[in-house]
Amino acid sequence: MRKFISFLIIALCLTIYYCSNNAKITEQYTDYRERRMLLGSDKIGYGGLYGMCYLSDYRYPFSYDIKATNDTLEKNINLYLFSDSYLYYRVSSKHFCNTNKLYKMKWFETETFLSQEALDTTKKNVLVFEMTERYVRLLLENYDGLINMLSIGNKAKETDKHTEIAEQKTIFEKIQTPLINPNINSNLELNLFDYKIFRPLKELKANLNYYVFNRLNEEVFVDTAKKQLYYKPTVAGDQKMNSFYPIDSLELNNLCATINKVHDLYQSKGFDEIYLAIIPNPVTIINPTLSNYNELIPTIQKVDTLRMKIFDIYSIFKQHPSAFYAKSDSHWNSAGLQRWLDEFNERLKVISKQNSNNL
Amino acid sequence: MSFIPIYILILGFTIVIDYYAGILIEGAKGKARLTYLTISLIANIGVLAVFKYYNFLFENISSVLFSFNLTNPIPALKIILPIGLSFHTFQAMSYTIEVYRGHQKAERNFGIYSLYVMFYPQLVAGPIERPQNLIHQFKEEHFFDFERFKSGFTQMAFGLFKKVVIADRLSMAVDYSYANISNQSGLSLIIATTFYAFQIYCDFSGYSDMAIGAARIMGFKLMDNFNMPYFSKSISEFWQRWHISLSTWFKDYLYIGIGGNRVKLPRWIFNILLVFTISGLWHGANWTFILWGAIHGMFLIIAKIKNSIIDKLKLSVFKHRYFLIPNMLITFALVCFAWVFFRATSISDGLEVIKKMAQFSIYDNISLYFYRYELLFCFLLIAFLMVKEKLWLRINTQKNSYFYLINFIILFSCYLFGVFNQKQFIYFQF
Repeated sequence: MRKFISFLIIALCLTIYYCSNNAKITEQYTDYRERRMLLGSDKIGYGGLYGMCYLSDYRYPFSYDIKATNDTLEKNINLYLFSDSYLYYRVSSKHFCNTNKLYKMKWFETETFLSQEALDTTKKNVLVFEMTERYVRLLLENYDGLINMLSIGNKAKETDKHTEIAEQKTIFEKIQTPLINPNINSNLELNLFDYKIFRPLKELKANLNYYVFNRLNEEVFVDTAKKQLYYKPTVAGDQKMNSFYPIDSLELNNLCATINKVHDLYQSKGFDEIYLAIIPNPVTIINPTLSNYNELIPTIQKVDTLRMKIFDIYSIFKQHPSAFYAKSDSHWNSAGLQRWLDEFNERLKVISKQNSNNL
Repeated sequence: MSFIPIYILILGFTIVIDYYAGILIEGAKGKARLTYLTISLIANIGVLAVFKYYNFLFENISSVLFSFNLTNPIPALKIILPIGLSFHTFQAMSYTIEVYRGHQKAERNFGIYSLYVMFYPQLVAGPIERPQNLIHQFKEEHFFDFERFKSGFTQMAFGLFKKVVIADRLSMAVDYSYANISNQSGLSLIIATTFYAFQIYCDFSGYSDMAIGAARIMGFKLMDNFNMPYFSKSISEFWQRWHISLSTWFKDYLYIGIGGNRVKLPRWIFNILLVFTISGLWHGANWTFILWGAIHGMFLIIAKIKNSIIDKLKLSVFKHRYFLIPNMLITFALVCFAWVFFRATSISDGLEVIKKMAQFSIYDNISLYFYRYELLFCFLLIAFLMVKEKLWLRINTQKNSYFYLINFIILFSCYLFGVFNQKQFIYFQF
């Protein structure tokens, strides 16, 4: 019996080690657990910011529920969408009107590439640069860097050989990597403790730390007046992600110049419509008086020398400040995403109609 | 300091050298014994010198040459200090020295000798064991014993408590204030330095508790490494209670070897300063550690002179029990003074801390990155630690219900009050 129990314990430990060492298994297991009851994840279901700080007062159910368009309209648009987490993971072609094909690309990643396929000139080719306000200054401050990122798929193809050389590992690294995954600590934490059943304990610790010691996860900011959590870099600190970090005219001119250069480049590649869609940081809409808002979005959108078209969601969101953002996540809620899609679909319908008329 | 699997080869190298050195020393006679011992010591100290001290030496030579507008022709090495190198090197050296002295038989079983050097609970941060204490235990059969398990587990649990609840919480204030010395008040730095004294104690003794407890669960008895050091009434007593395995190592293998205290006063002063300076250097390749060691040496010398004056003048009043607590407080203050240089990143930083501390006022602002309740909580933790150690050094776990309750409370406290910022153990860097 003693040997059997020992064997069982060893087998259990090895299984946990193997699963936590393997990124794919951990990912699949986390996905599987996302909507389970007691064994479900408590890190995701209530918003990412809640999952970072576990403050019980800020636990709000969080999920996306958006409508497919189900349109029977003419599919005469190919939509190219550079996006971040606000859109990339949430939308597919069924959410866009008149859309024949949707090509999604994510900032900072190279999963798909924009210009590997020749543009289909029988369709209207619409290119959208969607970016969150917190990334605008980082993405647009350097044109060469941005272009390099936009064309990274091509570059990777051209320099495959170099990439392979850079990734060459020593024999010891080859042995070490599968044995000790660099993320094994966080994977173990996910696999062993990311369960709703532990939520009361996590909230107890978080509440004690916050309400007694005034200590909180370093990436979370609490707006007690609005009962809202913000991603801290968008609210505080000397970072360009911060909605309150001042912007001077020199930087603004540089951003606009980059936008124009990018527009010209892609127009020359044959795109019919090119849009810049800046999604405001939550604090920009919900509580811009928390400090002095730097007016980044309205200022850029007002520049009359911009050649790229602006898809303005800022003005629409400003009309209902508390309606469009999740209270416990750094993203918008279903209503915000739905509103963006509705407004953008109206734009697509107009484009589609223009295309039909031209033909 | 880093854990790099390839560095296991370094350990393998010293193990092979010392294993054969032990056998050869035992089999040889006369000068040959000393030759084999010397080879073994050179190999061990050589590894330590290359990985730990080469770049330190390089930087110092370079800066001296730079002041003469010269560049150092010898290149720096791009190497990282392997984790726990100083610990297992010293443990390996104690084996060959003991075989040479005839206190320990050379181990013929390569596996057992390797296990002696690499016994995992104490491999990276001690206690630095002696072969007489450990090797024979590897040859004995060990059975599971629930009583031993209970006491070992409880010691491990309390070691974890010391690390994640006390040391890592105190470290937030210490790191903050020592990173912004110029913006800190004298009072803040005094509190931060006091916190550091308890941080390093809980960090290191917490690790030792976990190592000793883990070994005990498996049936092995490791030597104690700490014995309430902050209750010491003098610096020499402090060194009998702090990092016992290292201080006895230096005493047995270096201090006594160079004459100990059976020499004339000037030579004794030299011996003390040498041992403590080397002890400081053992901790790290930085002048701050060397100065820390030298300060402790100076304290011992001053204490000896003071004691001889008291004896000569027959001032026995100073030995009265009323002086116990003042002596403890003075000793603690002196230890804290030395910790300043241990913690500071440079001697100039250390001097600035001392200067600011000397100018403190009770009305100074306290800005330690702590909300007032957390500051109060830290003082409570320290008070709890002191009371616990004084009144209840070994947690009694004979009754099963007691064992479960105590460990539940300790581990739940670790979870609830623990700071999990993935902070390494301080002594891992040595």
